[in-house]
Amino acid sequence: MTRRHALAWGGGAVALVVAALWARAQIAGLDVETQATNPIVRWEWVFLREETRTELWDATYQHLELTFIAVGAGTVISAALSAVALRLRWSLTPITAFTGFLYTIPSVALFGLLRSRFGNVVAAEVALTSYTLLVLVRNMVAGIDGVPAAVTDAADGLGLSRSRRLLTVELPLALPVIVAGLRVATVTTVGLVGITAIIQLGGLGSLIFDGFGTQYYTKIVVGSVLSVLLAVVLDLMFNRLEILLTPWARRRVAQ
Amino acid sequence: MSEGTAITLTGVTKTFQGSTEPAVRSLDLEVAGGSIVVLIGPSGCGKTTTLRMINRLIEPSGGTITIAGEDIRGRSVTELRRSIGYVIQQVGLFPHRTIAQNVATVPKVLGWEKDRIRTRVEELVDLVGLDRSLLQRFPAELSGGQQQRVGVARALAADPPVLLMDEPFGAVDPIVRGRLQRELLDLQAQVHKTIVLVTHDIDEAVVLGDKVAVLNVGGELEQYDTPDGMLADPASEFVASFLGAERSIKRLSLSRVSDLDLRGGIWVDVSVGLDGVRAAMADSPAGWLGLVDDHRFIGWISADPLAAVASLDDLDPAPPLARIRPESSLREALEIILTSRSAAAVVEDDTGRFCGLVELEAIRRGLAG
Repeated sequence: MTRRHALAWGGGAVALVVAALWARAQIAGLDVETQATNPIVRWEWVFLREETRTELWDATYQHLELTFIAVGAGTVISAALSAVALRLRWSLTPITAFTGFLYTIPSVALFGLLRSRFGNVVAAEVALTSYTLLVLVRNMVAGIDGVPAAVTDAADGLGLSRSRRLLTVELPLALPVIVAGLRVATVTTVGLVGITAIIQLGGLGSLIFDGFGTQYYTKIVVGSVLSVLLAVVLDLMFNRLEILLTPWARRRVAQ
Repeated sequence: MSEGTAITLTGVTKTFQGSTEPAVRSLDLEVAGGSIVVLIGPSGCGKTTTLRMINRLIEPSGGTITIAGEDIRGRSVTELRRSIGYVIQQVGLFPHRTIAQNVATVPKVLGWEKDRIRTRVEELVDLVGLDRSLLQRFPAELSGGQQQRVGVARALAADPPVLLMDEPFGAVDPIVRGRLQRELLDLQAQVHKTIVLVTHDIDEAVVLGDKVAVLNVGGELEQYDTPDGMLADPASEFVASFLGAERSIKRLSLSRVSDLDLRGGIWVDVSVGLDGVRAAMADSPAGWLGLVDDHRFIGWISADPLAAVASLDDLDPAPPLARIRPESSLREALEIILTSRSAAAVVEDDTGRFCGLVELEAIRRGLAG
């Protein structure tokens, strides 16, 4: 396990403990009667209630769907923006500034603002997508820029066309950096999706909001745990992907 | 002109954007087919710019470049480059591709069949002296010298008539560099390409070039001549200073030991008998003599023990300290004689057959002639 994974797992565990302590404090403030019927986790709700399984599955599915559409659209838009930035060098600064600006808008405000113009789903996706652009564009440009000059010079000198150079030389070499960007974008989006619950979406986030609304803490805990698990699993998957895509980066012989 | 593809530069000029002074000014250069021409000069002399204009990595601002009589602007850039091998100092192997894939780059782009590509790749790694077991490795698993060999193999893959090399051996250590230089000459003897090579190392230029073009800042051609012609008779102060103070020493690396007259010298064949050897010793001004038996050099003897013995078999000749091959350069011969502190080096071929002696005086005469 790498250091980054240790950090991810550790961070998740700390978050859970904090959530549990907070929930406990809330419960302590309740009257005896409510507390008796409302412990932090009601296992019978999680495991015995028939509808729970479908509800959790639907929420997870929606969470993933919102995440993947946002990251997918973000990737397409970022690829286009990166292509422009790589062709016209001067445009990199304004593109970075613009995506950086998008990134700084508070998500709650953006969801609400967009909702007044579009439907809920479109509003959520537009906002989520815009948050992925900064890290994706930055990593795509850095990845292509990181290809050694000698390698592109040799590619040109051997007579590779521009598109062939990009597809067969530059992209494969930039892939680790690009995938690293996708990884960060995906994990952040998983977290942000939860907040879309304020406009009646949010997958696992809606479960958490629901729990707050009804003071049914089991839902909060289950929603949080699943959300963190989702992020960690996706993070690990991208890590595997990165390793699979770059076999050449690890086979080195001591000279 | 000899066989092969000639390259002609006529009035070639390059002024880079934002610069008032041209990097290359009205350069005329004729590269004979099948020859190695070395471009050399101080940094800023436009030697790399000139090289890169030949495969249009840089477009000339003026003038004409023809390859085999055909203007290079008449062909598409990618098609032109695929017909010109290109080797650079940093090699620029594709790190994510195996050695086999790297070498196969141009044939694959040209749409060769798989079998043909495989055969060609194996042929090439043999040609550049690499082991076939390296084919499935990645570049990072190879040493610098091996990588440079792969770079040459990749450049030669589609059998281009022209090879451009930009300081190809600049990044490897001096021992490997010397070996790669000799290998390039051996390779050239087999493939007969028209090679334009850029270097800043005058020794490399002298060893590799059939002709050497010395460029001054701004791409001014100071002299274009054979290495020997240039070393013997520099056209200008600039060329003389660029060639350095050791011009004569450098010329020595252009001549072989076998170029010298090896017949003379202070040695005698044992078949002449004891009296014959004594007579030869009497003629030797140095007071010592080399003994040869059946085309083998036995060793050195001096006058005093020779006078004392009753038979040649009683002599105890001292083994030679300096031995050299006929194909070695005079520079190597000089080096060996000086470091062994001998007065002469024994010349023997691969089989140990005695070919003659080289003395310092013979080297001096070789330089004068």
